[in-house]
Amino acid sequence: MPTKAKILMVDDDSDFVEATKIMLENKSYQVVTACNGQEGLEKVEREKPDLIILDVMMPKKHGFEMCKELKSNPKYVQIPVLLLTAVGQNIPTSTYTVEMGLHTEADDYAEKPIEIDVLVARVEELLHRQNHTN
Amino acid sequence: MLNNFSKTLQGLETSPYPKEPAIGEAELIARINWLIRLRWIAVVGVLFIIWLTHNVLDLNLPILSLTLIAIFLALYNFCFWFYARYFMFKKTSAVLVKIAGRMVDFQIFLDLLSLTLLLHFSGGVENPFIFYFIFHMIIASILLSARASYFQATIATILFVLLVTLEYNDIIPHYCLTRYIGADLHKNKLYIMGISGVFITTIYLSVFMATSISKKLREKERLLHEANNDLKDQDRLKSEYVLRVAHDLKSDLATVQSCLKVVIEGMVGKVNEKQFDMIQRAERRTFNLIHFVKDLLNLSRIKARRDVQITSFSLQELISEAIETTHIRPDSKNITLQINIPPSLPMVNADKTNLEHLFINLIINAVKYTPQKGRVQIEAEEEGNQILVKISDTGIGIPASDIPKIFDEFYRAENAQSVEKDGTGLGLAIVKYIVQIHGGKIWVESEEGKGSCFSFTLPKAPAGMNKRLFIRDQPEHTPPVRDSSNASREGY
Repeated sequence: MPTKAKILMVDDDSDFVEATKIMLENKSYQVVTACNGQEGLEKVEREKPDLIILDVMMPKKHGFEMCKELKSNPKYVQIPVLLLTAVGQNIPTSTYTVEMGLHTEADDYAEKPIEIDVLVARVEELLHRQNHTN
Repeated sequence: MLNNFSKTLQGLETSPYPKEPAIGEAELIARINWLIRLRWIAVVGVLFIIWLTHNVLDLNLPILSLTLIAIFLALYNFCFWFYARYFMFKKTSAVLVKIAGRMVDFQIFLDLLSLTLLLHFSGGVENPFIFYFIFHMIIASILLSARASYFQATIATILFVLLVTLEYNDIIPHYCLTRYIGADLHKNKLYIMGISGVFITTIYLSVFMATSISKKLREKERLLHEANNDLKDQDRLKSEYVLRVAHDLKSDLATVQSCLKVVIEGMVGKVNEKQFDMIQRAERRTFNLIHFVKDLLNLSRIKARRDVQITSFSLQELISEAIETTHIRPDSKNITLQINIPPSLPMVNADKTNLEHLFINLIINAVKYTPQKGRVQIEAEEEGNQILVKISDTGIGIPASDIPKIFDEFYRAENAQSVEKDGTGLGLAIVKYIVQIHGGKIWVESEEGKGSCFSFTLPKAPAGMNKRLFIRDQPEHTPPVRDSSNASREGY
């Protein structure tokens, strides 16, 4: 199977990252990981991923903030971002709110846990949309 | 996670809900409407008494003037009614409270003036109806503050004294009730002084008594309201606490499930049959637990009334979407799914996400508990200002003894447990709360072995009403792409 796109996964839950990484690699994606938003931004610079899967609740720099920075940078604005989080659409948190999520302009939004097939379908759709616009 | 948790608990301490005012706007408007209704009765009463005195008692009174006053009474009552009906609710609550107070003040003043004029043309001090001023004092004490009530008592006294004095000194004419009272009482100094004394003390005493009673009642009402608000806050706090715990559980469970999936899918090499079996068992239990936590989250979210966004939409479309997102296929069990919704059915006024959830839960249930070749039917019809929805099936039914408890949290009917062992018992509780936050009612009729019919009411969208209105002030939002993968997996 030919190597597919490179995905950057940013999540502080290392166990979840490990499992998802294996699944995505099994589907022939190249996966790089980062454990917080700050490291995530550095990896974006270094690895130039085709797509980013982003958690919301993370130390140092949370997902919404990282997404905002990406989308305000013309260099990275093209990279599709998939927010993948256990913070559901309606979960109230004092630190993270839905409104912040909206301002991030993430390209897609999914809730943990997610079936691998569903995740792959979402990833493929985003990449397809991306190729189409280019 | 612990750190996260304590942080969130701090966040829970402040309630996002504003305290409601002591007297609600709805109540204020209701009180004004009450006053207006009373005045219609007064108009009829005045006209009747005019007729009675003229035609039956044969008293010689200026009918025209008295009738004109009655018309004046009716006219200003109409104006107040019109204003209250069409303009008042448009005001913001602070302005409304202010206007309502002034309006009542003004209305009572006009009433006192009308009564004085009526008395003037019908015998003045001789007319026993002078004591009707007491009614106005009691109404003022109920509707207004103590200060405003005493002010009205003073106005009543001034009007009364003015009437009596002017008539006594022949500055204005006196219309004598000759056939009713023999002597010319309006010239009898002692009588006037006696009646004035009794009148004035009665007026002030009735205000004193009525205001002290209403003051005590208002205080009690306020305390009850506060206690009620405290209870609501505590309940909300509890729901948010559960929400938080469930959420933290869910993230960990999601990770556990993903790790097990990696093994089951053979992505990290082969395991032997026994190992595979054990891991699969673990994964299945994790899956059930995730479902349970998800239901718990949904229930708490609804109980905390989070993100309720009311819009108007077509029920037909919503049901089609709900059926599309569920992975339950009725045809796999040869079940006929009938949807009978008349195209003329008005739109509903509800929260779309919650309502979709409600239909998914009930349809999944109906299909789940209906055996092969059965039938599931969804009907909806207009009923007054509501929409009545019925979801019926030819399934296993609910034992009569279970029916009263079927909507309770964590309760599962005995025969349901034999169909599916791992249900959470939260699905119908979620359904009940969703109906309740829309101000509707839900009930079930069922016969064991024959089938069940769940009926509930939803608010109808008012014709020509603004399409979007919100229960709470909330920014309008939708996630970039709806997570439809979720809906299908919310179950029982």
